[in-house]
Amino acid sequence: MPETSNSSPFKFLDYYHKEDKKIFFGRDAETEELYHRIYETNLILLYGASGTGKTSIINCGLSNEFEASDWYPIFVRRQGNIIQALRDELHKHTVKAVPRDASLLELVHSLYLDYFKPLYLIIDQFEEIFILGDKDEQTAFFLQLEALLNAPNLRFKVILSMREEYLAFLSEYERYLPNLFDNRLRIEKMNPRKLQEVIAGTAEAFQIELPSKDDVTSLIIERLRDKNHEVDLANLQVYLDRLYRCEQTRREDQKRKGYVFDIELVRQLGNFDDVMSLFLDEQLGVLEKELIAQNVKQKNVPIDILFTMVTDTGTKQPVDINSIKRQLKNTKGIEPSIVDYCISRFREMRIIRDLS
Amino acid sequence: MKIELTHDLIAKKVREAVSAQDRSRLHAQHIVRVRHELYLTTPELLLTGEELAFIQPYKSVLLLSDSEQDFLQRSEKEVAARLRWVYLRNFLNIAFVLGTIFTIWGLREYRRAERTAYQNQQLATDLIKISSDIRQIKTVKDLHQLQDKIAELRATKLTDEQVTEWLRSAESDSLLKLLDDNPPNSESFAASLRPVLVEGKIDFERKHKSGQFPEAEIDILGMKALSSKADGSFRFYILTDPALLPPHFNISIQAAGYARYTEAITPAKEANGKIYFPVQEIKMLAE
Repeated sequence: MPETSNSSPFKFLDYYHKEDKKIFFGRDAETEELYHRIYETNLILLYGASGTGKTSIINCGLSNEFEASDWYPIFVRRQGNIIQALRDELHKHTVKAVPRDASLLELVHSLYLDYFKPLYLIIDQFEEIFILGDKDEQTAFFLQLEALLNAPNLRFKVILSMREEYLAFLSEYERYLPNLFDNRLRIEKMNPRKLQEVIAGTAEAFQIELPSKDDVTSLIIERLRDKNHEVDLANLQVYLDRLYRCEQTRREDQKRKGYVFDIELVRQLGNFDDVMSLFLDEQLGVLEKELIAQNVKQKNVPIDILFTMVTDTGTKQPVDINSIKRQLKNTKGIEPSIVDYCISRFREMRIIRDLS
Repeated sequence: MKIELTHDLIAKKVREAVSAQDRSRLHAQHIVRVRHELYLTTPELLLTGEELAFIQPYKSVLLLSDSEQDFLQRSEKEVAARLRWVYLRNFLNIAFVLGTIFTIWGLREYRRAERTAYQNQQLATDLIKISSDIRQIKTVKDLHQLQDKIAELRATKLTDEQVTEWLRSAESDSLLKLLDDNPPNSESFAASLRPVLVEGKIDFERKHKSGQFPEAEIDILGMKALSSKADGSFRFYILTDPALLPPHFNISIQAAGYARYTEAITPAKEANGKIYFPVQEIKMLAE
């Protein structure tokens, strides 16, 4: 059995979903604020730094605020083209068949009549339209959005969730949607109190004992502070996962039951300048060894595969698996079967996720 | 099926971990993609030469759509055409500069040729005059004046070869014939002849490798003599009629590697009535 990091209950790098309500902590205020705002307007702009948990606030926090009869959410990611992705996703939800060439407005209208609930179109990672899309795509989208939001007799609301550094790109499209910036909500990085709430709440949910709770949580936060004295939630999840696995080994050695995150364990785990780099290096090392065992001569195959999913600006981008195989065969001579193996292992390591 | 990294932090770390060459390849791909999008809306916006130079090493491994391939090729053609125009313009600029230089040089040469032509014309006039004088030689005085004139020409306007050439033609054409037709009165001519001493010393600026002064050729009254090799001194006699000597003569000295030296000298008379040419120490400057 290859070594993976999926033996702990922590979300690790996955988003929180509706069913994760019991383990979703620290974002009550933001969820509440978003819930009230969405009543006031039909367009919300949710933005914040990478790793602040925007997607989880919508997927888990907001989803759990609504009664099932109050909303019908449609989650959309850009994929290859935002308009096409939108059409595909809407078609998936239709009950009454709608012609493939129907307009977006006709599609949404039909969908509304199918469910007779307010439709909530949630476009996550909306910055991808600026990172990966072109002007034509952007303009077409905002024109369509304008038509949908201004359509009469349609209870249709939109949440655009995006990274804050791409906010300025929106200003060009205010001419189509003058109230684009009117209802915006910034998700800020968690303060220490909230972080303590996350650690303590998650530990309790997973029945992990925290002796001297304040001291342990403070020490964990201290371990993870970056140069701006902030803690990235993704790093926190990776750290808690590591702590959990370390405790697994310790309790086996001590032949005891139950999990305990105490000061000694945190100290034993040491100080990490960059927990994410450490995690990635470890996982890549494991995979490299596996490839050597399979007589793969090429070096750095795992990192080459991951690099196909990175944009020029160092952000993630959705990529078709066949495109990865073509690209790596072309640029590095890596066989498609090796790519398949590595992708499968990356899924287990929770380094990549499927989009469809 | 599409996949993605679970977090941007991983994307950031992966980007840091790959080689600079891989990052550049990705950047090359990014340039083509972004600039292609611009090109679709503004067809005149093609890739620049710098962008193409950056993309070139990765061109064979980039995954491009047909439209992006066309865009790349059109950019390359456009840049190549622009480069050809730049080369042509540079060539024309260089040709213009060279043309200007040659024109100025040509004009200067033309003026020099004009000047030379004028001098040659002057020379021709002088030679015609001398030829005419040759025909009128009656006495030794006439001969001396002619010799002096030739010496002057040799010193200032003519090369030795030109003088020799001219004298040869003059001799064959007229002088010898003239002398044959009108021989001087030999008895009176011989009676009037006296030895006149010419002596002096040349101070050469440098010695030859052998440690000796070079040999110098001394022209006076149309005659030639060689200096002593040992110390640069010279001493010789001219057999002439002292009464017919002009008040001034030109003495011209030349030696290999030195500028020609010309000076007007005045004959002096010793207490015993002997006439001599006291040439003072002559400083010869190396060329």
